[in-house]
Amino acid sequence: MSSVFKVIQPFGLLDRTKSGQFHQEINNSLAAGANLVLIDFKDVTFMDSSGLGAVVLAIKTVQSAGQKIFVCGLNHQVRMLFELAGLDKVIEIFDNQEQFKIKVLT
Amino acid sequence: MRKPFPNYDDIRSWLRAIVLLASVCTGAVARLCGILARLRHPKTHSAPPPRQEPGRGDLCSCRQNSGHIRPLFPEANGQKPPPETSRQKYGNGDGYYRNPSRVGNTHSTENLVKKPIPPKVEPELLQLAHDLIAIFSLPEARLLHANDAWLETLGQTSPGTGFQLGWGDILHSNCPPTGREIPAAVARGQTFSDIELVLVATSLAPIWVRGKVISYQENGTHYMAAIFRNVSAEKQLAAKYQQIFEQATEGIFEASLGGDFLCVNPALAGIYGYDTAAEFLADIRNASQLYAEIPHWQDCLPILESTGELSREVKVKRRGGHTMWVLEKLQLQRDNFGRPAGVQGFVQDITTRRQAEATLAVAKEQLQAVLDAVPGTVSLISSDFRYLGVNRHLAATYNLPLDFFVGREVGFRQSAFGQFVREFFANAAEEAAQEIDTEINGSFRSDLVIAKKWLDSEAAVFVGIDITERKRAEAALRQELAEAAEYVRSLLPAPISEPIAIDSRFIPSQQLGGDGFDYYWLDEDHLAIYLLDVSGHGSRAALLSVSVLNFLRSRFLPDTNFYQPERVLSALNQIIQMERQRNMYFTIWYGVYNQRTRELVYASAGHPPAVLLSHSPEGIEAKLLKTSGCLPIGMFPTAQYTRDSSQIQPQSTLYIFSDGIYEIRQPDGTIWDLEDFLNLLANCHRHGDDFSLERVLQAVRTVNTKDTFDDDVSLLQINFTP
Repeated sequence: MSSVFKVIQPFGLLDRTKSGQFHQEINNSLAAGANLVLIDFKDVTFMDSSGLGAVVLAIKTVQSAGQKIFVCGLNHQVRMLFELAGLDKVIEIFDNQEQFKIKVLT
Repeated sequence: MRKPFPNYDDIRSWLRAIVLLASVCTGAVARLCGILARLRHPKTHSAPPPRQEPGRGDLCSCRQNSGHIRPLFPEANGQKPPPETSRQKYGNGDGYYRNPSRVGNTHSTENLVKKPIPPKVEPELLQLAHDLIAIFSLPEARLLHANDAWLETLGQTSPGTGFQLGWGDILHSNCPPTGREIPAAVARGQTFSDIELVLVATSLAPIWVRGKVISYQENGTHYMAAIFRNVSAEKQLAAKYQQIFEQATEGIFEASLGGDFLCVNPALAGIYGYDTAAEFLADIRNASQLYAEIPHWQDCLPILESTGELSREVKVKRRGGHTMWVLEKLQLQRDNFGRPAGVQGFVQDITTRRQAEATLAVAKEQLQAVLDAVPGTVSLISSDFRYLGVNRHLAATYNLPLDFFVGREVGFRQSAFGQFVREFFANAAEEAAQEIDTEINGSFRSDLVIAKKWLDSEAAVFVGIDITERKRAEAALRQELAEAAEYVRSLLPAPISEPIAIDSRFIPSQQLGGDGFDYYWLDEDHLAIYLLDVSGHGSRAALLSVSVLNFLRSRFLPDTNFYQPERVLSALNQIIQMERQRNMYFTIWYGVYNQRTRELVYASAGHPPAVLLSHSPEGIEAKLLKTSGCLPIGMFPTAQYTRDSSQIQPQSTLYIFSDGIYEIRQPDGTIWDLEDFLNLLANCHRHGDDFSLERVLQAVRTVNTKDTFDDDVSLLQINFTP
């Protein structure tokens, strides 16, 4: 079975103002038939609790669609937020897209 | 033959010239003689004067019908005859003073005795004459003699030396052809009493002259005498004025009092649509033909007669019937007696200007219409702080007429606006905006005034938008928010000191925040403590925070043991899910302290760890109290919650806080983190136990360069003493 792989790459400040757009991209990926969604945080400088809520919503949306979701490229602040919330137990975190491709796609 | 002195010839020549000079004024003298004759013979005044009358007893001669000149110095007067040598000059052996035919035959010796002897005219006097005088031979028309004025004007040397100039040689090529026929005509006996000629100087310059050319006879020999006045200067002046007249861009005309055109220049013809002045004059005889309204010409005369001049803008008809506007400056011309003689006019086509003015007027009207359509107040103000104009809306707002504002200095109604205008002009900024509150007739009004410079900062336009309603709504909302914030604060517990000292700080980033905390005794021994942080901030977060506070305070959670933190968190996670909370969730740290056993049981749902600082032999020991792997409340309904416990040493201090206390963006862009905050807390305690929560906040504020925190900040300090 071939997998459709989509990368979503938010940038800058990920807060409530970006949540709507972020969620729309997740839905678009699923509508496009993605069964592997990777959120790459390498361009995100800061994520607040609302941004984390948007990520949780993305996880739930993708998982309830029966597809898989991963994240990569977390900076220190984002990683702390993930770990503090215990989300590192909910979703697999990769260093970057290359690591993800090696470990998941191959 | 005597020869009294060597230059006798010259003297003779001068005498002859004097005779000719005398003839220049023959007109006036002849008239005078005529008048005298008529006075003497009143009955026969129309008859020609008797021949013996002219020149009698006077140094004058009258021009006879033939134009002959009478010599004035007969021998009878004692004048010496000219020397014989002079005759050869005139090609005639006879001394013509002797010629009896040239001496008045009625001049009797008897008469001369009776009358006073006329003074002699010295030859030098003729030399001083300004008129140009020359004698030519006939019929050859060779220049025989010329006075100094002649020689000087034409740049010639004395005719006695060198080449003898002919009449044709002294005429300029511009001279009318008839000029060349003069000698022949004079030889036939014709006289030219007022003729204009163009002579040529040796420098080839044209010399305009006016005067007489006459013939006279001397011993049967005919000579031609020319007596001219140099009119070059007048001619050149006239030519200059003619040129100005011809080339002026302004239309110029001369008309009679009745309005009949005497002359017009090409510019005037052009203004009225004609190619040439002649074409214009052929078509338009009278000025009244030009005016669109008939009485214009007649109307101007009384004004001209009283003031001498008149300047007016009138509508006139152009060739082809089109009307146009001209600016007409009329001047009354008077004759020598001061009587009105005619009208001189200067005309400018001002149609373009009138059209531009009309266009400008329309543009102004349109601008006013646009300004009036603006649903706000508009004012145009010059850089000297005066109103250039306002729109109707502004005038109506102040219940003043539109014109009332123009020219007035700003700020006569509102000093706040006046100050804004002054500051705006003093500033280099092209645009500015300010909210200005005023009171008009006792009612509050607020305007958002937007200013924009105009005309190179010489003026500016100010548009005011009425934001009174918005400001009222904002004020009401602020009031409501303040009330809500007050309500949230009222829910938070007051500090306690016995048996456990608890202090707290609640600093929402906006008026309302998503943080909340509480502590209360579940029974005599058990103290429940919790602190929660709803995602996001502001009023939406505050609403969820308040709900959770109320759930917990009322212990309104089904089948929940409030002594068991993990049960409380699970219960909360069951009733609150982010999909139903507009994607909001919250983190919470919940603990129960048993003061009898000194055991603290706790659970945290994705919340930053609580920090327990206690004294140990090694110094300050910091223990982070958290239950890892427990997700925030509301994220996943299946989340599992666990608890942990810690034994509390005497003199320990527990800090519970939200992430707002440490997630601080520093000026260099890096984020202060939890570890930094823990170090700060440990440092505070290392300097002794005697410190307050305020000191912790002070220390954090030195990290945060801003006055406010980006996120809500809550901080609980629990001192377990002893």
